[in-house]
Amino acid sequence: MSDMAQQDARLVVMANQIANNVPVGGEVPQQVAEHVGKFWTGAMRADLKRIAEQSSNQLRQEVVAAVALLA
Amino acid sequence: MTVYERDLGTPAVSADTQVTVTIDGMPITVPEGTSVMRAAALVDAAIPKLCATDNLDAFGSCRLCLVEIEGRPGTPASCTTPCQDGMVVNTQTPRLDKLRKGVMELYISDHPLDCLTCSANGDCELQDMAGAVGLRQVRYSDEGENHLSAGKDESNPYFTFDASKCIVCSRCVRACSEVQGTFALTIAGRGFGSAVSTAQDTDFLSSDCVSCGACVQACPTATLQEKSVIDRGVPSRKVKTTCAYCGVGCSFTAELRGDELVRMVPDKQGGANAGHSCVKGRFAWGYANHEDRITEPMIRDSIDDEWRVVGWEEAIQFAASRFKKIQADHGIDAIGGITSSRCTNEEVYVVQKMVRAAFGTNNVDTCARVCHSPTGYGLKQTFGTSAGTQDFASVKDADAILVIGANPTDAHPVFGSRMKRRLREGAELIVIDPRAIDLVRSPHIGAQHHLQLRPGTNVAVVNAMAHVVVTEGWVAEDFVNERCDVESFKAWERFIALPENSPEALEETSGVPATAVRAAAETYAKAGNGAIYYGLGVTEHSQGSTMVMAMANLAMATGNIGRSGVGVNPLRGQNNVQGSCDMGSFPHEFAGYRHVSDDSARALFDSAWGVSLRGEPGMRIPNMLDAAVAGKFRGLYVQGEDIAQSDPNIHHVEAALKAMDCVIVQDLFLNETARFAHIFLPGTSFLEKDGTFTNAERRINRVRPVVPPLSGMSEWGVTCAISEAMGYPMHYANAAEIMDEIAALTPTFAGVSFALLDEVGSVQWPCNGEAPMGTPVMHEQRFVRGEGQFVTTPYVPTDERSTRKYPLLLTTGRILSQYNVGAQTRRTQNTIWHAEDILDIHAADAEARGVADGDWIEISSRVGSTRMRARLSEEIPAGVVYTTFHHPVSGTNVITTDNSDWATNCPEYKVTAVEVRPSMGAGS
Repeated sequence: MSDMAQQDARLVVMANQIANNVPVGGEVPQQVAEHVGKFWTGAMRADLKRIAEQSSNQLRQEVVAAVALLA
Repeated sequence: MTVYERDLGTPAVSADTQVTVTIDGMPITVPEGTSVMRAAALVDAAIPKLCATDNLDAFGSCRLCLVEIEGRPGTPASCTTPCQDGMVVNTQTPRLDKLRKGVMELYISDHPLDCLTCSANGDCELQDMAGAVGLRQVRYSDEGENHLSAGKDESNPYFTFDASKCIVCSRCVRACSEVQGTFALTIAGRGFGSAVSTAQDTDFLSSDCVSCGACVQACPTATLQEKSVIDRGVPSRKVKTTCAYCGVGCSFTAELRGDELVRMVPDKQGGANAGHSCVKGRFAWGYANHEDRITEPMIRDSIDDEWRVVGWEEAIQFAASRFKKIQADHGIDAIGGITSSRCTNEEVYVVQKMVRAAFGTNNVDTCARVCHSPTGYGLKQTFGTSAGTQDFASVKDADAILVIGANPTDAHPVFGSRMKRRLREGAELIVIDPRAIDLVRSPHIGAQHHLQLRPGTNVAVVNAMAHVVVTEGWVAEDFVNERCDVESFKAWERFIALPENSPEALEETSGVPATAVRAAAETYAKAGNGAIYYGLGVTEHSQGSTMVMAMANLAMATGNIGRSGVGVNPLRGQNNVQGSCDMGSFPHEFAGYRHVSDDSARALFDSAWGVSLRGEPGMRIPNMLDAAVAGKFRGLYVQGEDIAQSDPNIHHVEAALKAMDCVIVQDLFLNETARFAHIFLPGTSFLEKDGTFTNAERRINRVRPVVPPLSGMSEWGVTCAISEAMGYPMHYANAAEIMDEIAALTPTFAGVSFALLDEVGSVQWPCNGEAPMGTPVMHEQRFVRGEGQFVTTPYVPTDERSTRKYPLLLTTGRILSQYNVGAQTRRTQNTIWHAEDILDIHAADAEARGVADGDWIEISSRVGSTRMRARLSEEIPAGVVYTTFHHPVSGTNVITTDNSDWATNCPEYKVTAVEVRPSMGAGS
């Protein structure tokens, strides 16, 4: 795996993990988008958007939905 | 001469009723129950004493403190006689003089008369009292039976026990029992044969002694004395300062001869430690002058080159030019910095300011990322701010103490002693930990409940306890309705009452019998005052943040917030973890935990700093390392941390460091990270710093310079110089001015200044107009966020699971004598207790693998392997192994993975699937 692919893989793990762990009861995509917006850099969010566009099958559906909510 | 702290003889008493007595003609009113000795000391009619000291209960054995009380026969001991209203006491009469002189004569008749050459000459209470009672001669010869030829025990590296000088006052025995709570000492024998002994009649080093120094401090003679005093002489001056080890933040008096440190003595006025200490703070300060200290700046073009010693100006210009070139070639965000929890608030503040204002990026993070970042997240979500709720003294009012993922007697020993005192008084104890830590069973202490869960199942267990509270109807409804967000409570109540959160449903997952969970829940919920104390065994998990919120939920549901004796209390690992977080070290927050996207907060800093700050978060440490491997992040300033030893998956960390164009390390020693550095900037030890530390109870303590910086520059001064060379000057005349700026920009610090701290000793934030003297207990009337917020906390198993290939679960921790990566303690005589990291393994697991006690083993995970010796242990269950990470040679973090907390990326150090095999040795 290339160094860039490694970084993408880490972002996928992180995003999916957030979706899997946010509190129950709320809308998961909104919570993921809020969390990523609050704690991730702009570059990381841009990379996540790219991953969602190019290979969304790696991401949980809630993450893909969250990406659409990102500014 | 040594200046003694005033010793009032017996402890203070609190009582509703006051009584007035007259002592030597002077009236004084004191709380009922106060001893005559203490009352006399308060009117400066100090009564001679030997076995009494004001941090120990009165004992009444030395018979030197006799007094006369009008209307009463005899001459009672003043230490054990309580004041009664109207009592008239005489402390100096011819009869008393004669009695005291006789008592003292007997003591001296069995004590060496070598005062002039004694190492305690001028620092000896026996000598002082002989003078105070006017002893002029000893009529008894030394030809009779005596103890003058009793031997010395010099086994302890830091102090000696010279039995020939012992007067058997029992102060050392009582200090070990009452203050430290170890019960390592006793009085052996009877009558004339009575002698101080270790409990097992061994030498000190082989005994249960934990070398806290309480016995040495209590000893009124030269019997128990610091070897440093014997070697260097009695101190002549002193400076009050704060320990630089764990998050307890003990106050000490550094005692010196000239500029040579002779000893560190715990300060009785210290708000955190009240005169107690541990082996690290009391004795393990030798690293500050260790030969490995680097005191001159060094640079090199490549990490393959030799270091070149240079002057400060060249080093600073080299650093700035490298960083500016990286930014020119790869963008503003290609560099960043890491602040240190071992540095002062002022040093940390200027580093994060340099990164944000001079570098122009929010790529600043702190080592708290790898320890208590989930505390910051979880407590902010539920209570509104990232802070423990109580002061340490609060534990005295706890009725049930819940210790989760913490080992206070090893990692926070001075607070551990406070906790043990309360447990001996009768508070109940619940321990949730895979290991049977010392608190589970130690002298006069036994946990009522030990929930020995599988690593990684904290949330399951605490959810199950909360399920019991809710379904059994034990919720503190008044508290919840008055203090909490009721809608969030109802949502949480519905969630937690679900059958899948019951103890029975989670029993197989956690390994904890449902009946044990139910019993522990009842103890905590019905205690009256239930207090939670937790450590990295909570935070360093994939659900670290979830677990912090789960504990907060439990505390709020049972009404255990907002008064003494309750609360949710993170035991911070390093001395200034709380402070480094407070100071704006996280990439998403300014000082005072205000998000960088908060326009009003950012405008405040923009205006004060004269820059336009970025409004979106920067990179966390793991993000920086990932980006470095990907070639996007190329320059790092590391303040007082050793990420190449302390962070997980070391191979990944090293790859990231190697990939960078410029790594700056500011430290005392050439640590593991410095192997990858291009610039080494010598740091200052705590003895050279001027500033403040903030401990785990939010207490801001002064750190005062005991000696000048060996490198010739303060650390904050170096940071300011680099910032200026980067084009952003920061001018401070002294550290006090930095704190003034912090106070001006941080509402919770608004009232803090060096002048205030020097006047009152310490304050706990918030310290501002609403609380000018600080805030010992938070959330008393309302939560910082207004109403307490319940958050649903689903248990999600970690991805790190045992497999056929890696069937054991490794969890890591620390040991009493060592600290963090060992950079300091490995350079002290503390290595006598722990010279290497050892793998604790259950006998069944060892036998199945052909491993015997003391064998070398290889331990492997999916990311790496290392070797160390094994020790068969009954403290851990089968299926779990445990080790420490104090020694770089064992490289424990070579095998920990990059799994991390979902919310904060705090590494999951506490759960790594591993296999253990016999090995030929360290180098095999």
